[in-house]
Amino acid sequence: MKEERFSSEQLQILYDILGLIIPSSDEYLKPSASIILEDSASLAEEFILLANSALHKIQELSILSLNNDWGKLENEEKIGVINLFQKKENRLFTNFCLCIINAYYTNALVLKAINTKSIPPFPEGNQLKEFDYLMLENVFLKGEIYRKTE
Amino acid sequence: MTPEVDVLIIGAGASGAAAAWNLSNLNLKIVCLEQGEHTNPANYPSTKIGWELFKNNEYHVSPNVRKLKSDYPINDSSSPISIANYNAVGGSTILYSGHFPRFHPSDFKVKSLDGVADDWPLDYNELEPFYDLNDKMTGVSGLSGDPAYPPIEIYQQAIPLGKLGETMGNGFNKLGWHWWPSYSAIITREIQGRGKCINLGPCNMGCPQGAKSSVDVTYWPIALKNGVELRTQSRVREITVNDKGLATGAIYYNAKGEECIQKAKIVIIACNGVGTPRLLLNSKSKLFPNGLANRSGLVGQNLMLHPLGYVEGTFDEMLDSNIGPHGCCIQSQEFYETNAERGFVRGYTMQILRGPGPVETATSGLLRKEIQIGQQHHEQFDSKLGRTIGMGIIVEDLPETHNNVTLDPELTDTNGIPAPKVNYTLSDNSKKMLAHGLSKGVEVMEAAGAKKTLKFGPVKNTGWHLMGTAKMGNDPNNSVVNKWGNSHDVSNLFIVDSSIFVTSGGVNPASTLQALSLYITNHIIKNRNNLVVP
Repeated sequence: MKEERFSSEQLQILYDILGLIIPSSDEYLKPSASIILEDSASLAEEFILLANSALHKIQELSILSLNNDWGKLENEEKIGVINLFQKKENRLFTNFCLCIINAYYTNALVLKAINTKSIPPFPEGNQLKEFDYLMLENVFLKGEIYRKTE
Repeated sequence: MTPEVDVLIIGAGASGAAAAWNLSNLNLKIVCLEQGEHTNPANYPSTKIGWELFKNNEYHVSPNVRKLKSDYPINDSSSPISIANYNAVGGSTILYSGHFPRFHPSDFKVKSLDGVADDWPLDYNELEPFYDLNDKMTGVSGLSGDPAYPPIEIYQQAIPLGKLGETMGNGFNKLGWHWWPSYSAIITREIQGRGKCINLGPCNMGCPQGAKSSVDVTYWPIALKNGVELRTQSRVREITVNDKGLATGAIYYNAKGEECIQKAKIVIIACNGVGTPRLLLNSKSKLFPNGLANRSGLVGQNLMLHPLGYVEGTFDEMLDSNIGPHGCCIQSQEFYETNAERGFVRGYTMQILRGPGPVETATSGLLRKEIQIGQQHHEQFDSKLGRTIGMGIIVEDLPETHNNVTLDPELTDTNGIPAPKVNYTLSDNSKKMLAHGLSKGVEVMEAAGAKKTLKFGPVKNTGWHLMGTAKMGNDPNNSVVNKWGNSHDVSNLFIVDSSIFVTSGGVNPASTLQALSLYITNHIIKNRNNLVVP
């Protein structure tokens, strides 16, 4: 993580937030969005800017709405604060989520988990089902549908 | 100033490359000036794990967003459709999907058949040998026997349809509508050292495999081998003329920003339906105060853009729709030819598109409130990725003079050359056609088994097809060039790009504009000794 951008306390909060925005799933074998923090080099500048703004706003909302620091909140309370953040700062929240999605769905582990087939740099390519030419029989038998001009 | 050459070609995209190749078989000195650079396929986004993110910046379809050194700004604020292009050796073929259908014979006879616009001064039969030649040079895959066309010889086996194509084919069959595997400028068998398609998907950001037939891998390698000189990072400001009204060459800026002059006996413009009128309107002189080749006043007029409708269906079944060539699967021309009962003239093509990748699936899902954050995210995401099918409705818009390209009074490019301004509105005919296409698109999606559909149009960032702004015709008062792409006003000036289209057809224009380029340059080859040159 780019330590100079986030304090260790902020980083812990960020792990929490990302884990709530996209939690891990045993059913779908997907990690939580906090996985994107493991690959610091790939994080976009835009993410870091938005994350800083989101952290500030979420900490502020924790105090204002529950009179407590984020770190001392129960899980349900944290979800409530994030919902409040979404409601009060929708544009910032949406842009932050889009940035998270960009990083999450370009992460190699996530792409493997969701089975996107051949992952860049595309070593092998993909197999696609050929089609049964007989499917076109009726189209062909209907005859020409273009207008002749002579 | 460099020595005079026989032929100067301006623009190294789809039409310029075909012209350069065709003329390179002669012993002529040919120079092509291109404002962009060579692309390096090894650097295409699709070689990188974050490939989807590049479409938001340096591989965005709009030059106004990309803002690369090779780009020029386009004021398209007065159009519901933003102009899309790419400036490089290969032009917009670097980013196109490779969907490569031809015009229909009726497209050349719209006045005679439907009483609108004008007939072309040539017909399908005259162009057919050049369609064939272009298909062969390009490497077009598909399937012969399509009842929507006269017989077409196909050189490469069709791209596999996948479960997606089969699903849609069944939907069309249920309704008894026409459909056929797409004509695709994507090779399925290796030729000329190019790798065959391996069904990756992100064709629209360059094909590192070389399977997609962008002209940097088709025409240019041969043209360069034959001796054509291609100067990149060379942006043309104006075409110069002598006191006899003949083109003498061009003034351009090289990579260092230095003003250069290239003299030529013949000048060929291949800058597309926005770049070409911009160049002609910027080429004012005493003899041509309203812009070069513009005595008809039609340079820049009659812009056609193909308003695009989009229909999407979501299916229960996993279709692996996110893999395979994005724009090439199947097409339907059930509603291509005019039918008065529909309430509009002319028609459209339905182009089946593969589904989006994971980033686009998640971001569009979030914005449409179909995929939420929190615990439900994964289930909702899983219900979309690989299970959605897209459809483009390519609407034939008709030529109208209020749709045009002019010069912006203030906006300029980095060389100080006035930028183009696009003014465009959809006609009632286009609106009715678009609404019809969207409705029929939903109908076939549902017939194919879609559990959910959405539709909208015209889609904003889809102004790839730039046509009509230097139309061809027999009457010098009602056209800019004749049937040979030769300016009525300047006898040694030719235009070979889609600006010379009389009407737009209801299909992607690349195949037709390249066939026209071969047709025109063939005429130049046959008649070069009779041309009046400086």
